[in-house]
Amino acid sequence: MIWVPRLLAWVLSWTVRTLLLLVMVGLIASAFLDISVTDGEFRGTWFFWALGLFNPRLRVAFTQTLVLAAAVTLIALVLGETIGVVARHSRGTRWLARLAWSAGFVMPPSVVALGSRNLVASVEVPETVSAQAMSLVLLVLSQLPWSLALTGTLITRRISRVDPRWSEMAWLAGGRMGVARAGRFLIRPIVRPEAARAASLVFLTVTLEPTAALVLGESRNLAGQIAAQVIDGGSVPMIAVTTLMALGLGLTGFGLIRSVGGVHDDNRPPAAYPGGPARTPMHFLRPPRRPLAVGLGWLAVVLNLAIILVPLVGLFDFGWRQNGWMELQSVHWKRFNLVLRHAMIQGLFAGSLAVLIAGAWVTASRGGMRLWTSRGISLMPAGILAVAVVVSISTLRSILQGFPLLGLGRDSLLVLVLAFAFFPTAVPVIRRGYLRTDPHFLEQARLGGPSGHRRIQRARWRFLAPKVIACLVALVWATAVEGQAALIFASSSEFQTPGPGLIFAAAHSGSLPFASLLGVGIILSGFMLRSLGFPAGWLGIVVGSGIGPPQIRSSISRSPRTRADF
Amino acid sequence: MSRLILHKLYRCPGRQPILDLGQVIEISTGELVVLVGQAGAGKTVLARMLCGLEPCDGGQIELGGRSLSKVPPHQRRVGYVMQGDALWPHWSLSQNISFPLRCRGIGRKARNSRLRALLADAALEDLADLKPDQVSLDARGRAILARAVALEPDVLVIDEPFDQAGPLDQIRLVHEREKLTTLILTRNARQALSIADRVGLLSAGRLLQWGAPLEIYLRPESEEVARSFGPINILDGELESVDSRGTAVVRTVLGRLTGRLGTDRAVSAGDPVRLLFRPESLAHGTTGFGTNRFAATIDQRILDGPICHLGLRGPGGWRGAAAVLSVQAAGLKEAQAASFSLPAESVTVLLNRSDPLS
Repeated sequence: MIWVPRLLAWVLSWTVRTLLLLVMVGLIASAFLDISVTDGEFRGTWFFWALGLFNPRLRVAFTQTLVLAAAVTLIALVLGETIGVVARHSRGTRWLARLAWSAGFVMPPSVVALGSRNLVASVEVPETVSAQAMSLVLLVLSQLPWSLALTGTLITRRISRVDPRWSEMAWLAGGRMGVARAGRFLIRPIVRPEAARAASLVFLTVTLEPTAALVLGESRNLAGQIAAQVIDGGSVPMIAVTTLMALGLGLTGFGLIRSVGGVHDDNRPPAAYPGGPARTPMHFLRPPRRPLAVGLGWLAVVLNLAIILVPLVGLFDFGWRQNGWMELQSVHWKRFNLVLRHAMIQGLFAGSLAVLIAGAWVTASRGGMRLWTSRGISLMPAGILAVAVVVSISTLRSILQGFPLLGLGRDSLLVLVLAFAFFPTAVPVIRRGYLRTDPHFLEQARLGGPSGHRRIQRARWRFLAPKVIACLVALVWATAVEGQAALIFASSSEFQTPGPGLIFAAAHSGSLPFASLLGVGIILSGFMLRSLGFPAGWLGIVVGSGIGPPQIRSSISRSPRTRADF
Repeated sequence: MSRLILHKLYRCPGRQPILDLGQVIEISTGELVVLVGQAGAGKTVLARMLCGLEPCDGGQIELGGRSLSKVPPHQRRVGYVMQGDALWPHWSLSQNISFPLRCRGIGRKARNSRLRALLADAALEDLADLKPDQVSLDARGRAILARAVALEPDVLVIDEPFDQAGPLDQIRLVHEREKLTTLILTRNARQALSIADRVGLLSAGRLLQWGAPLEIYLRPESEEVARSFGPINILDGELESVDSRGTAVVRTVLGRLTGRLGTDRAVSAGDPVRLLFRPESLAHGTTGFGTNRFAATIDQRILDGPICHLGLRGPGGWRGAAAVLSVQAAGLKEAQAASFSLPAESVTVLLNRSDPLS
């Protein structure tokens, strides 16, 4: 009965593809259909396109989005790359950089925006700084922690694969000039594709991310306008046009940056160091320290940490100093409980569904490269997917006049959207584990008959379980605190989950301490779950295997990274 | 002149020294020297100290009469072939080889002509435009060597050259043509003996013995040196007498054997000693030219082309090995008792260090 789970996986993965296709078709159709005509006749219109292109508000939003995305991408790239290069030689920088990346990954833009806003409100801003410039600075700051973490992580990982002997050879060959040339001609080509990959993702996400703009009350960028229109119940074709415009801008930037980066030329495994693994290669083969580079790296790390500390200080300032805790107990405790409960339920359902879809996806494609749809979805933040779903459903309802949505309520739809939006994150993690299972195991399993097959499946799950559990923990948190999609679906009940709860509370000055407390809660829970991720993975090993970790580790080390072919 | 002198080099980055040569090594111009040592013996550290990539905590390096202590790596005129494949994977072989020339600002015309010569010498003309991943290990080894000699260094340091498929011939060729002072650091003792003018053995950062290949092979000063350079027979005994020329008579389970005393320490009759001799120094039969004769039973007989390896069992549980010419071993069978002769010059007598009294 091996084919049963395979069939289920295949059906699930194709259902996801079909639904996504329908949603995208619905979104595009909405931009061309004037659904205000409800007498059964629909007329196609170019009016909204013209409106979109010539509308001064949209033009300003387009320009501002472009400036914002370009600024964030550039800063993240420069700082991330500097830290990545220097962290290779300096243990202290490496440690601090890791801390900064961890912090960046658990700070959503809305939380950073709120913290920065709180802090700016409590300090005196010079009159020479205009409000517009200040809001642009705050918008850039809001997007920096996660984008720095993304670029820094990817670039550092790539740089660590550069063989330290290359610089040494260049030094021997040509002195300082040789080292400079080595950096330009040798290390740069390796880092460039990864840097471009990170930068393109940053550009795309900043273009489509509305929560920071909403918290700052600055809806002059495209994403902010889309969210504001959806919440206010704006014209559906107009929302669709704005969404497509934002998607077009984001994807164009994404494609351009990726094409500049080129493809990886070096697919070799990490460099093998002479003398075997017993030696510490970084220390042993480290070129002499260059004080200027190390100083620059430290400066970048300190700047990075400062960027992260600014909103944290702002959050704590409001949450604690202004009797936020007392207020929480006396006034908001009920609301806070409700938010927590909703977040847990939403996170558990959406996170589990996302992991389930990812597992089905990998199993159905047998770990192969038929992942184009998942990559496509990964390019679409949850908010945009939610907008596409809302717009498509509105259009569908108008066409079918009273279509009951298959009985799905807002909450169920939100869970589905979150699962669709987040499952591509889990796909590479599960796929990597899936592919590492040695195909020879499977051949042995066939020879061993049914019991052999069961054993092999168990072995595969022993390897996959820790990854899946760690992935699940991360996704439960991410879907629980997600703000964009939840905001679009939760317009009726304001404080359902922390993401939209924070944004709504931030809009009312009286609820600022509550919003700050939500922000602190999001960051602390992120840190907690992130630190839980590793033990959860080990728990998965113990629960899933019944034998100790060393045996598994040795069986993994024997397994070549080849495609599992069964 | 590019005579290289290593004055008691010492390197201790942590608590334990990783290199402590403890003596002066002098390498003449154009000489090819091989230092043999297992992993962790300090070979790579020594190479890196020579190049200036690793600082010296003690001692001094002198090249052509000038001290290299404060000379930066790129001004030392030391060509370094790193362990493993240290070619830049994004560049073709010709770009890899010409990189040092480009860095030194050599004009295009001179650079190209030098590059052509280097490619021709390394037999890489047809592979010049290929990247390292696209060529064989052998070609990579040749390219690395060509890159190291591109700037015409005074000294060539090669770390583990025999890991590559076959740059041995190339090293010989380069050494003979350029007359370069060459220091090779390797684990492969057999290759070292075949190529070197002089050989040394490094162990745990110390230089155990240093001399001509044949001298080291036949007259090891310690059991470790003997074992490092090939199979060895070991026989414990008691010193009976020693004459002024260093000829020692030892009483062993195989009888009374004569050998050459291999230690400078004062010895006296009755001292526990250990006899070392190579399997190939044993000759089958009593007609051999050796002065020592003994009988042993053949336990095992393995034919290996022109050589026949014999496993021997002697009185008192002694186990040893002999390597005789196959034509001489025609009549030998397993479990057969046979007599062997052993020249006294091939036997090294050392004090038995395992004996607590020695």
